[in-house]
Amino acid sequence: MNPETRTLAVSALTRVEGEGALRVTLTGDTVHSAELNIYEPPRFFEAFLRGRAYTEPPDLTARVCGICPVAYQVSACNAIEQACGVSIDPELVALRRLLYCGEWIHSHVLHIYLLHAPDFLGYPDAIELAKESREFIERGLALKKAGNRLMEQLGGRAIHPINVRLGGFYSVPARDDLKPLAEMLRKAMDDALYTVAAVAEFDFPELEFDHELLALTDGDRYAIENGAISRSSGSPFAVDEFLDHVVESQVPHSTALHATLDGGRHLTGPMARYSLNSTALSPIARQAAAAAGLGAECRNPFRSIIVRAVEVVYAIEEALRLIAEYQQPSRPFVEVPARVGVGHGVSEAPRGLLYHRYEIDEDGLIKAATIVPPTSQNQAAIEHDMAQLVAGNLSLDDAALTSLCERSIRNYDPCISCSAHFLTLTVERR
Amino acid sequence: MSPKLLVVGIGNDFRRDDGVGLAVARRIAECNLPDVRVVNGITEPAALLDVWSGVARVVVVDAVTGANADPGRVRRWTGPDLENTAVVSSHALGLAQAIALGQALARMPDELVVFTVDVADTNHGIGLTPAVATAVPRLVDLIVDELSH
Repeated sequence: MNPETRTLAVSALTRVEGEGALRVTLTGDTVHSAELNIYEPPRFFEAFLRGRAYTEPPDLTARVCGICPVAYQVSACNAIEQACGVSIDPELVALRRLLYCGEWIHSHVLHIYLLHAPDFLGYPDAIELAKESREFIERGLALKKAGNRLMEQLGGRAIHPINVRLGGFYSVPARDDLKPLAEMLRKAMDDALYTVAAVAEFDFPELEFDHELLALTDGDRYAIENGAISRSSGSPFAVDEFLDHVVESQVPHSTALHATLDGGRHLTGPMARYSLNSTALSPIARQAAAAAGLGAECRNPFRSIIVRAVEVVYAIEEALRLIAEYQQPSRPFVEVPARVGVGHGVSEAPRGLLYHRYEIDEDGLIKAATIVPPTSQNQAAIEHDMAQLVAGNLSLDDAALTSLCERSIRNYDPCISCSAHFLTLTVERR
Repeated sequence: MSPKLLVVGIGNDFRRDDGVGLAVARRIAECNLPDVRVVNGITEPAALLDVWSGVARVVVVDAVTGANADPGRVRRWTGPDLENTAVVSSHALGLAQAIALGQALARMPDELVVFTVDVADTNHGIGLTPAVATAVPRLVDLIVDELSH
């Protein structure tokens, strides 16, 4: 046996969303490849959407993900409403934003407490962490519940909401219906601020990435349910031109498509969003970010946990503002009559920019559909980080290096699908 | 106020036999049993802890797969069997994980009974395979009986 050839495998790692593996190959000091291998079978959403009624994508695509269904619903609505030439009432847009805040809270808190924190605190999983620090996990669960309640109230249920439709909602709450939510969110704010302070105390390995950042911006507000495309170095472009710039291609080692931005590697998600929107944070969120040591930008992927915690504070503060200003809309939805054409829609899913494109034919049926999720955009960045980390830490033994690689995957909260199972990691040294 | 009895169906109707837990729970709901709450569609451990905290008796119905699966076979798990046997749920949810988390946080029901059904087909599509469909009325009877004493 060649002593320089070693293979490490980690199975039953339950802290990523989906089924994937990672393979790193190195000879001496040279890292040949770092591949994120997604082996979940393809799901064919874009294919089976063809021929469905133009009103169906919000409900059908919500099923892509059990963690971020609202993102799919909103990007789908934005795209189809654009195709049909309809703008919805500002108060309905506000309600969409409020619903989306619930999803950000729920998704980010799940990742911070149950998936990511164990890495920093030295536990194999959240269950072992809960045994030692019951109060810490209880706090996370209480905070997550605030997001779930918000989704239940506006969406009809927390998972795969059923109250969203083209043009708005099937029914809208009365002002009084939202009062208990506001009460709950005010309490949740304490937990959210505690979370930022707690995660800011963690130890963060050194790593600065140079990926180009891609996120939405929305005037003087932090972008959530819509916005204009913004990037850290190249020229911004219109949403309609998304597919001219963000190009997906197949790679042999993955069933997920890999996307590039103008041919280069890019990153979307909390760090991109924060870095391009930090001046638009609300006062409490901005203060919390500063106290946690975040600058105007964040380019250390391990610190993404702080950015998520700050975004939870923002989502709560924003939800409270939206509830305070809420007046029951005069109509729950705007009619969206079918029209032949093409529409593009974007929104900021918890994991990053989510793009939808639909082509509607003369019968009001979907002729073509394209969905570009955040994780397919981030794969190249994840692989690049991995290669850098391995190259910079060759002196570590295989176990320590493996652990560092696993952690670097979780920095990006990759949503391989909504059916989280396990991730197998292989480091091959030649 | 929490109900004294709770039935939780776990699964996905769009993955064929994976929907068996939901099918059973829907049938239980139709029975309108007194003091029995029925919850369907939970997809994560934390939500499970929320619904079962403070409830006296909880029955969970889930689909299981495995090399030795015998489609339609119904098994009842309780007490130490649940903790010591690897009840491999077909779900991301990870029932075992929810139980472990619930124990760590002292958020378990007073009594937890899990019924599992071995399944044959969890590919995309709706409807149960015949062997699994025949388990539904048997399991409904078992659960109604379970809840009556």
